[in-house]
Amino acid sequence: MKLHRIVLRNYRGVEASTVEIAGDGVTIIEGRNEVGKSSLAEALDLVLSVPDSSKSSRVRSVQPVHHDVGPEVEVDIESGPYRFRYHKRWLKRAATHLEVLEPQREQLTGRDAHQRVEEILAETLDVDLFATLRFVQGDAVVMPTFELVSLSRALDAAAADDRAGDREDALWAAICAERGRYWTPTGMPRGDRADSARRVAEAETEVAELLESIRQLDAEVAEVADLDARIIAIRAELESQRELAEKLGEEARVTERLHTEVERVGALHAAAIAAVEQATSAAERRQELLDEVSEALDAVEKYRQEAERVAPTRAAAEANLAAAREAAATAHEAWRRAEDRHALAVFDADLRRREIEVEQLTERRDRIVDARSRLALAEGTLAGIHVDESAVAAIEAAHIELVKAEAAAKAGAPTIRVEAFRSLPVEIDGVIESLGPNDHQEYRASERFEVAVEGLMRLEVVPGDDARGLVDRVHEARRELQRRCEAVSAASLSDARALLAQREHAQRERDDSQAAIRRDLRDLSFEELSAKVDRLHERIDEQRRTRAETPPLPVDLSAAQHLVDESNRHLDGLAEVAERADRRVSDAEATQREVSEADITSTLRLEDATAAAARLEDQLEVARQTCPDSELHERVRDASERVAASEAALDAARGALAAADPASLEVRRNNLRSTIDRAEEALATSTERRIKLLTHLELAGEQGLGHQLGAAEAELEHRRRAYEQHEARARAAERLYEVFAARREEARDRYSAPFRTKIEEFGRIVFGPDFSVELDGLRVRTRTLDGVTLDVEELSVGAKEQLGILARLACAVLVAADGGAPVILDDALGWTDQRRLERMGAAISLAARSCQVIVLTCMPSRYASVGNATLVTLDSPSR
Amino acid sequence: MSHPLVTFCDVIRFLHTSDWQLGMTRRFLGPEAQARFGDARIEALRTLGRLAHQEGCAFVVVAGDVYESNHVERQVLVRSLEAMAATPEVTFYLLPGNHDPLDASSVFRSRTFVEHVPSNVVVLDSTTPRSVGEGVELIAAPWTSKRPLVDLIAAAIPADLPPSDSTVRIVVGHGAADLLAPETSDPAVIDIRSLEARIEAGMIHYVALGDRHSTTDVGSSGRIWYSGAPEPTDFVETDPANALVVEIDGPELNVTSHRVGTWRFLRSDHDLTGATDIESLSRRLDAIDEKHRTVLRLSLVGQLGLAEYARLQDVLSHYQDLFAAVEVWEATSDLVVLPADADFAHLPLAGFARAALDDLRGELAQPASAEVARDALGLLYRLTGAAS
Repeated sequence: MKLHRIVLRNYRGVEASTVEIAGDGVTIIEGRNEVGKSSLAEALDLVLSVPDSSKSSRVRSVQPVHHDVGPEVEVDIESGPYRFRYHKRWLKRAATHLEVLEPQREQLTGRDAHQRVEEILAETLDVDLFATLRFVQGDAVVMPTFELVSLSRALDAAAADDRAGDREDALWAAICAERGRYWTPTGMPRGDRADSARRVAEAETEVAELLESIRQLDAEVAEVADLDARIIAIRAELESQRELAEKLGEEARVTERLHTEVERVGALHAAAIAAVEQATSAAERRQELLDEVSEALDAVEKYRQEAERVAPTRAAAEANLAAAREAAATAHEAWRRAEDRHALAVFDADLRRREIEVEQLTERRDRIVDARSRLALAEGTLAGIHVDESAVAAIEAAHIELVKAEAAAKAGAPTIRVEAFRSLPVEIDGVIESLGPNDHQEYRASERFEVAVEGLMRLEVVPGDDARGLVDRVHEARRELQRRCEAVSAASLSDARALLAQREHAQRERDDSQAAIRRDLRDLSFEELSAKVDRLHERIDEQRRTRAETPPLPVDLSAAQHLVDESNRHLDGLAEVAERADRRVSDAEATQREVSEADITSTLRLEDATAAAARLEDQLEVARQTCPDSELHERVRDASERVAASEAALDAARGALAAADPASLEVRRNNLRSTIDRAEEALATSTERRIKLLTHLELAGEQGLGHQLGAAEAELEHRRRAYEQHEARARAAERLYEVFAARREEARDRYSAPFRTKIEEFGRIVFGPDFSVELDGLRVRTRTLDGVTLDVEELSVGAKEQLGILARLACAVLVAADGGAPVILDDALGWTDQRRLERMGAAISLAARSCQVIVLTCMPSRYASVGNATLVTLDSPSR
Repeated sequence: MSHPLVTFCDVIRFLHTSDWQLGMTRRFLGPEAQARFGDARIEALRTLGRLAHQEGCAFVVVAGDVYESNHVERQVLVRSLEAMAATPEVTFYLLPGNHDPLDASSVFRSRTFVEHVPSNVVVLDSTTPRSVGEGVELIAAPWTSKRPLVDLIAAAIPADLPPSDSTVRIVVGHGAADLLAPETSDPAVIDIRSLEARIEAGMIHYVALGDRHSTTDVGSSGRIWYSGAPEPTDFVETDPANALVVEIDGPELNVTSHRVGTWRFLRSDHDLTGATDIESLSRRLDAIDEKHRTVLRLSLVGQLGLAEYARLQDVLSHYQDLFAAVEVWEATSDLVVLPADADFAHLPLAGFARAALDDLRGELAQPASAEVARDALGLLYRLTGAAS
């Protein structure tokens, strides 16, 4: 298909525009964006595909704004053998007009025209190719596939005889579909195959389980058979064991009887032994009695001799005792006399001591009496004197105050000097004074003062208030002094002081007296002291009165004390003598007591022994009357003979019992009982187990496991067969697919080779000799440049755009011979630099030798290097 | 259990059968066929009862393997008892065999059996000679375990059994006969010569055997027989589906085989070298009657192209629907499928498809890949058919 001319009228902003397009080579249609260069491509689509009756948004969008006219498009097209002019107007006065020029002239309008064009295009134009070869800015990001009918046809032509067709494609689709029944697109087995395998496995499991169940049942059956045999064996064994038990029981009963016989003979033997012991015992007792009698008689003799020996020593001891007692009495008498003398000495010394004591006490009493009289005197003095130191101090203070007041009054009062020129009596304040010539008297007029000379004159001096105050103070001080003196009964200060001195003297006297009294009284009162003196006198008098005349009283205490000491020493010596005599007495008494007791004891013993011997002799006599000694011995002999006989019988019985071996018999019986118990237990266990197994087998038998197994095996067989067949089909499908896929891939590579070669031919113009591409079917998959291979998606936008254009050019060139379609580049190469633009221009130019290239651009400079281009400039919008 | 004792006059007639193996399943049968097969084998019991009645047989001896196993399904059990009860005038004497030994799990002692056994069914559970009528004794040799260690029949016949003219003694036993299995080392194998000696001595008069599913006269006495199974169970059986009417008339003995089975197990061998052979096979299969009760095992030998192989599959598929079962027995089959040029002649593949086809045909020559390649070519054949 080639586009020769396109005319727009009332189309968007274009009132009318006609573009002539070169049949071959490159036509560059230049126009500013607003001119609507892209409208050309749009208009081409509209006129070819949209009926004039359409009021679609596509159509309405191209209607001029504010102009109620229908948009029109007219094209002059060559497609296959056809050449036609085709005109459409939409919306307003819609119309379609077709004029076919070649190969046969036709003129059609309206719907017929539209249909006819569709027929022509369907016959001659690969619509997908037409769309693919159009490059619009922005398409660069997507590399289109060139799986196009027209390109395939061209490549098929190139592949000549080795050419697959629709039939092969359909077969391939069928193979893929068949494979898809068994395999997922990623080559994994489909789920139903796993299900089928699982169903086989389940059936296998069921069969295995059933087989195992049956095997277990068979094992149980075998076990029951074993148990049956075992039970029979155990029963037989039990039977023989019970027989043996019966036999051993009989033996045991015999043994029991032997045992009883042993016990009986044993009892007889024991009785015989007891009889021997009894007889022997009686004989022994008789002998003991005989011995006791003999011993008793010996004792009587012994005690009799002893008594005879003790009697003389008793008299000697008593004489010795009497002598000792005599000596002791003498010693004690001497001691008593010495003691009397000592008592007298002590008495005398005491008397002399008391005499001294009474003398001293009497002196003390006399001193006390004296002191008491002085004390009374002092206290009398003190009672009459009321002055004390504080009172004297107060009087002194009052006295000083008076002196001070008088001094002040004297200083403050007018001084009255009375001087007589002659002697005359002068009455001064009522007192007649006789003044001699030139005598003078001075007075202090502290008070009203009156001086009179009788009959001659009277002078009255009245002191002022101040002088009177001073005088009052003097009076006051004087009254105070007087009051204080009177208080202590003193006439004056000096008197008071004298009284105070008296008082202090009396006090010292009193204190001294009191101290003397206390010193001599000590802890006594005066009365007690006096009483004591009196009592001592009485005692002394009493002692003198009671004392014998002789010996004479020692001269003094010292002499008396000397006599005391002397008598004391004498007394001590006599005391020792007396003690020694006493000890001799007690020794003699002890000896006498001892001898006396020995004498009594021996006498008593003799009496006792004699009595005992008599009793024993009586007992012996009584016993001998009951059983003489000879008979006792015979009894012992007889009993011993009986024991010997019974012992032999017992040995015989024991021998018989031992021969029966009861211990072994008991062991065997016990063992047999255990054996029987064990066998019975084993029998019970086996029987129980057998019943349990039989019960289980009966229950299991009801399940029909054999039948289930048969069914399960059949099911397994069916499933396995189905599975294997399915798997075989899957393997066949997979293998078929693999072989076909490999061959198809190979063929496709071969088939797409011209397309790749053509792309590389153009590409090397632009990118250089190292440029190559790999295709995936008819889609560019990778680009290799300078040894570096990149997926097209990894290329830069510019490189992708360039490669996209080159692939379109290659496709267009290959399909051109069969009509093809124009390459329309709408505002392309915006991403391409100047150097590449030049080379792209060369490539476009080369392609355009074989196909029609239409470039729509607002920048014709991009295509300046396209050598064989025809430049068409669109008119500006007319409005 | 009480049952009517039969008084014999001069002639004694009874039915000898064995190896019912009720409850048996065959894995090559589908569920539907399996159900019918099972029903037919129960139905055979009624047929036996009727036959015994018609033939004037006083009783039926079943010489072992009454049931497939001791673990038989309850349904089979009660149905079989019901079928035997259908002819109450005929007493069935059942011998436990190796499939259903009288062990602890014995089906004959199961609650179901005991509760439902009809009065005309007696289990031969002891070797004690059993009088089944005046002048007739059964000496049974029941199996009590799956692996006996002695010749049970020899053990069952008392050594001091006196010869008798007045009492007919029928031995009922089960197992392999030494004459028919000379190589066996089984200690329980039946000593036929010994039995023949006793027959000769007049101690016993007939030996009713079970185990072998084909009717077989054993030894030279004419009095030792395997009755065979009443319905066939396998392809190896040469003469199954019979029951024997035994007539003893004094010293005379007459054994008559009656066909009672309704199913067949057939083997068929075919050479297949082309379309003609397949059509021939089809015709032969078509000629077989009673297909729904026929189990067919095919041995196919030869070489076929893909188209022929596909045709064969169609034929087999068709008859698999008609027959109870049709299986190709791999062990005896040797069918080579080689795509012929003609297989794809109607579809001249071009380009990559042609190359791939050639690749697959090349793989047929390699044993490792041949099978998959053959299947793949078969699939291709089918797909090209679909595509054409």
